[in-house]
Order: sequence, then C-alpha cells, then structure tokens
Amino acid sequence: MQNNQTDEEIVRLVQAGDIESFSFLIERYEAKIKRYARKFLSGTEDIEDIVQEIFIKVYSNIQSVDTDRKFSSWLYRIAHNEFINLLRKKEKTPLLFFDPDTLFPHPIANENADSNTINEETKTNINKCLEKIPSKYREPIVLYYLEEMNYKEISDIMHVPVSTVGIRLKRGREMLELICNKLNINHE
Amino acid sequence: MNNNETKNSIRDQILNRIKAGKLKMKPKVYFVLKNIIFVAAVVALSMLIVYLISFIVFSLDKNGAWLLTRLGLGGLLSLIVSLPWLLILIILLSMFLIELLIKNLKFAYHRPLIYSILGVMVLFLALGFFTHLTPLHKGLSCLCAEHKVPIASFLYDSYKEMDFPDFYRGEILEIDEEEAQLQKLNGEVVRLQITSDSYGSDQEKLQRGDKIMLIGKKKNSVINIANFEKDNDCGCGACNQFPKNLK
Repeated sequence: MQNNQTDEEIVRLVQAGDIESFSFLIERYEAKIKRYARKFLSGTEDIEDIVQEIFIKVYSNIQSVDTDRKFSSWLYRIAHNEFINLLRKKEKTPLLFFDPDTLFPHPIANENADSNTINEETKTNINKCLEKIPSKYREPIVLYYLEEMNYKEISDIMHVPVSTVGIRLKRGREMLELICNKLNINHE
Repeated sequence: MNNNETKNSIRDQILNRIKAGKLKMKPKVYFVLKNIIFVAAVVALSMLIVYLISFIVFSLDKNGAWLLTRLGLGGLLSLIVSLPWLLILIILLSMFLIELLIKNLKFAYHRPLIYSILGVMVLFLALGFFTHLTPLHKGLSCLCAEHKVPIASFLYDSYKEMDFPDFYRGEILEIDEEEAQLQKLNGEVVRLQITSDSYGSDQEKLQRGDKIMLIGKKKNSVINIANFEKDNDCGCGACNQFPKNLK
C-alpha cells in the first residue's frame, strides 16, 4: 500500500511515529545509495557499513526534513557528507572552506540536454576509468551520468553553484577521455 | 550472502535497533533550537559588523580624518595607515564567519561565492554607513564620557583621539588677515598661516573662538593651513576632548 506513496508522504508517517514505514524508504533507496557509494568511493571495502550508517543518520535526523521539498535530495546530501568525510580521512586531504571552483562564475558551464543521453556501453566504459579521476570530478559524473540527475539536483547535493557542477563535469569528462584513451577504452 | 539477504539485513538491523530503543530520532525541538541558535548567531554577527563599521565611520568623522583625503595621495596614504586596522580585522573575520554560516543556504550556494561575498560586504557597508547617521554613537559616546557604559568606554576612549600626521585640532584664539593662533586640545598654542590656498570645506572665514580641525604642513613652527573644517558638533564626546576653559 505504502509503496504507492511518495517519499515525502512516507517521511510524514515516519515523523509521526510510524517506524515500519521507514523500511519502505530503505527499500527504495538502499540500492541507489550503494551504487552511488561504490562509484564515488571506489576501492572502499565496507560499503554495507557506510550505507547502514547513512540510513541511521537519516532516521535520527528525519524530523528535520521539510516534506515540501524533495526527500531524495536531502538523503543524497547526507550520503554526500558521509562520503566526503570518509574520503577526507582516507586521502588525508585538508579541509577547504572555499573551493576555488565555487568562487567565480563559469559562463561556459551551462547544462546541455543532449549530453546526458549515453548508452549502456558508455556507462560501462565510464565505470572502468572513473576511479582514476579525483573525487571532486568523479562525484558529479556519477550523479549526472549514472544516477541521471540534473545540474540543479547535483548542486543541491554538493552545495556548489550550478555553474560549478557544469565546469566539474566538463573537466571530469576531459580527464575521463584522457584516461580511457590511455587505457584503450572507447569513452564516447 | 546474496543481495536480498544484505538488503534485508540492513533494513532489519536498523528496524531492530529502532524497536530496541537503541536508535532514536532527534526530536523536532532539537532542530528548532538549532535553527534559532543559527539565526541568533547570524544576527549577532551582523549587528557586530554593522556596529563596528558605523563606529569606524563615526570615529573618522569625529576626528576629521576625511580632511586628509584633501591632501592628495599623501593624505590618502596617511588616512589608510591611520585606520583602526584591529577593528577592520574583526569585521573581516566576522564576515568570514557569516559566509561560513550561510554557505549551506540555498540562496548562497546556488550562485558563485563571489556574489554572496560581495553582497554581504555591500550590504554591511551600506547598513554601517546609515547607522552612523543615527544618534547611536553620539549617544553612546556621551554615556561613555559619563562613565555609564564601562565596556564600550574602552572602545570610544581608544579611538576618539586618532593621531594623523599634519592634522591639528583646537580653538582659534587670535586671528588677522594672514595669521592665527590655535590652542590645541592639549593646551599648546601654535601659529597658523592663512594663504590664498587655505580654504575650508564650506568656504567660511575663520573667526576668533572657532573650534576647528585642520590639515597643513608645519614649517619653522608655523602651520600653513591647507584645509580646515569647523568643529561645530559640540555635543558630548568630541567636545569633551577640549580643555574645560575652551568650552
């Protein structure tokens, strides 16, 4: 019955104390979050634990969800934060308050409707080269090409300007092309 | 373990923990309080920034620092060097904190950061300037002069007598066509030379008893007036700096 309900309707039930309804949210998003984690955190072994931790955070913070807004963006934002924290620990990268990419406008980075239509073969090829590019370019590629989100949705998850999403996608694509060519994998 | 088993495992583990009371959702009031603290922090920082900017404009105004800009590039450099840099540093730090606080808000992160940084700066500069036009600082400096506001007194006392090169302030004791005598705030009397190049912002002529702020180069113990402004604001605060016999 509840499977026909929207995410936001289920969230409202959970907020009102219907614990069982939370299982529908897990069922709906577990596979997607696992895929996002596997692609973004390539080489990380304990994906199960990470995804479980994400859903624990989702449950404990669910009262903060504004059900007038899209629940999936909020969920992906929690996942993004979890992944970034893990990568910071793993790669020992310094904490940047302001990324230079987010500082200035990038007029060339507009969304092109045609550019997200890629076939399964290209997806497979992207997967093969993806782990070779830096995480800040890897994430928008995963969300755009593999999770099929638009620039605005990615901007809401990563909390970066829409134009920054565009410029990171462009740079990421160029890096992918270079790496795939080196590995003799057909990228386009 | 196949996919279905792991899937059930995560779902079941979480549901079991919830049912066992080991996993609880934070109550709504927690997030409401968090939001209140967030808004309070932004408002407090904003008020601090607006107060400090308006205080700087007020103290520069009271000290006649704007006269220095009429001395050309040298005067402008003197003004820049004499600015209250500690307060400016506190303002910049507070702006940085505000930027950190608001950077996760939709209106801020959807656009390049430079827009919100410039927006924050322009907004606070405008608010600071308009606040300087209100009687806030004059009233506070009066209270400080009467030692009624102990903490703020430190701020107003520190900045009420800024020291600029070639800048003098006091009362005209004697005056004729070419020369005048000025009693400075510390009681010292200096000679002023008035030439055709000497002029005030309001083109007014100097008279005996005028309280003025002036800029000019000192040569052979005579100050050649380059520019002056009448120190008409003789409420408390600035005028309290004048020796009692001059009031």
